[in-house]
Amino acid sequence: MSTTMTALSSANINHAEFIKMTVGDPATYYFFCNAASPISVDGMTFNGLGSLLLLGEINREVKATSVDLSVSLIGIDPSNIALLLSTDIKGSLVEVWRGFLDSDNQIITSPSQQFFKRYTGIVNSVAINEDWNEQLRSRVATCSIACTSMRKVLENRIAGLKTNQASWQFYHAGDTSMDRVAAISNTYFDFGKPPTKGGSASNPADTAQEVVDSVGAP
Amino acid sequence: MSFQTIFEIQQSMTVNNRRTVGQQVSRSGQIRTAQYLTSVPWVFTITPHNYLYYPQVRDVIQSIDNLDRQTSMVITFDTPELEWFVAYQGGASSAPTTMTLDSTPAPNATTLSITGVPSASGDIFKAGDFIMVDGYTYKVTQDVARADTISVPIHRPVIGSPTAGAAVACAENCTFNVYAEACPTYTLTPMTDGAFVNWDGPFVFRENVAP
Repeated sequence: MSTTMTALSSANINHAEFIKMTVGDPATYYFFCNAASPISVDGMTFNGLGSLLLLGEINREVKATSVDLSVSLIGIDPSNIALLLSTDIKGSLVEVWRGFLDSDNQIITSPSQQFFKRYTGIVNSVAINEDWNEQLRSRVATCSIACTSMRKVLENRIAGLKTNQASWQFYHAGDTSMDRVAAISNTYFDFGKPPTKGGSASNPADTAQEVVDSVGAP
Repeated sequence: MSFQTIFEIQQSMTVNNRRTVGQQVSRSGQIRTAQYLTSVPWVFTITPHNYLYYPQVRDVIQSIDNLDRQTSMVITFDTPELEWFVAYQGGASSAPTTMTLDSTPAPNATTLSITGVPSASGDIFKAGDFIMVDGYTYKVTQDVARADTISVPIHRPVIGSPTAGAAVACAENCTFNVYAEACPTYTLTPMTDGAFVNWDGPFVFRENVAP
């Protein structure tokens, strides 16, 4: 289903970016925004106005892509440092929206709310980067959060159900469907010929009865 | 005095209150613009006078050293050298001092409802007049006719969360809380019983927006 962004019909648009991080259990929420004053939308108040430094590039393509995203926060703010050093930061949920604003800087609500999610991912890594300049006598610390998209999380996820007795009965206790798998696991089925053991059909006549015995005659 | 002195003895001042805007021009020559909502902080680039006599300005230099790029300072333009920058242009006999917010503005709004307006002939504000709410200074973008309650368009989103009844300062009563984003060092050229001070670059002052 396509989304119509009516705000883009104007030759002059006004927009802002909104970031929400959900950290830990029970969840602690962090909200960041680039506006001058806190903005409340969909029950969320984005008030981290003095923190957001940079939001990395978000690629939008027709095909599903698994791109990473970086969020940079000001390192002077102690709450930002605490966020990065929290034990639950890795794996925290990161959501990014873009909101389109009217001429008085309010989220457009007519004909529909112009507030669109752009990215959902989880925190993959965090870093505190230092920029030291002896010539200028300046030292700037930046908190960086690297996020991985949900698609990449799913790509790397190993999931499923093994077709052996132990795995099968872990999920389906009492189901004996896979009980004979171990017995036939090394059996070679060359369809149209008698089955053989060990993946070889060199002596089918000898092995055929073995397999039948092992699997069990009907 | 420090930063205030630098403002007052400036050789020139560049004022930057541009919004953050992206532009693209199509091959047919049509332009499209997108504003990225920000606080639009004031940035003043002050070129200081060189050849200050060091024995006379040591206190100024020291107070600048004390603030450095670390500490903010409130700058006022209500001085004989600077009052031209914020001078009141409206029809009241003097810069209004009785005005307050009539209602709490919406977050990031660019229009303020103001009451307590004094009598005036014609417009109470002219485009370019300065007003200050909750410590942040705004420019009035259009002439505003005098009424008991007026709607004043301002040049940037309202910062912070001012509420109804908050005082509205005008003209020379407006101030700017600034950090020195660039604080030049100086070179001393010896002369009789002292030295001339030559600043190594302009001062850049950025408004302290900290809601």
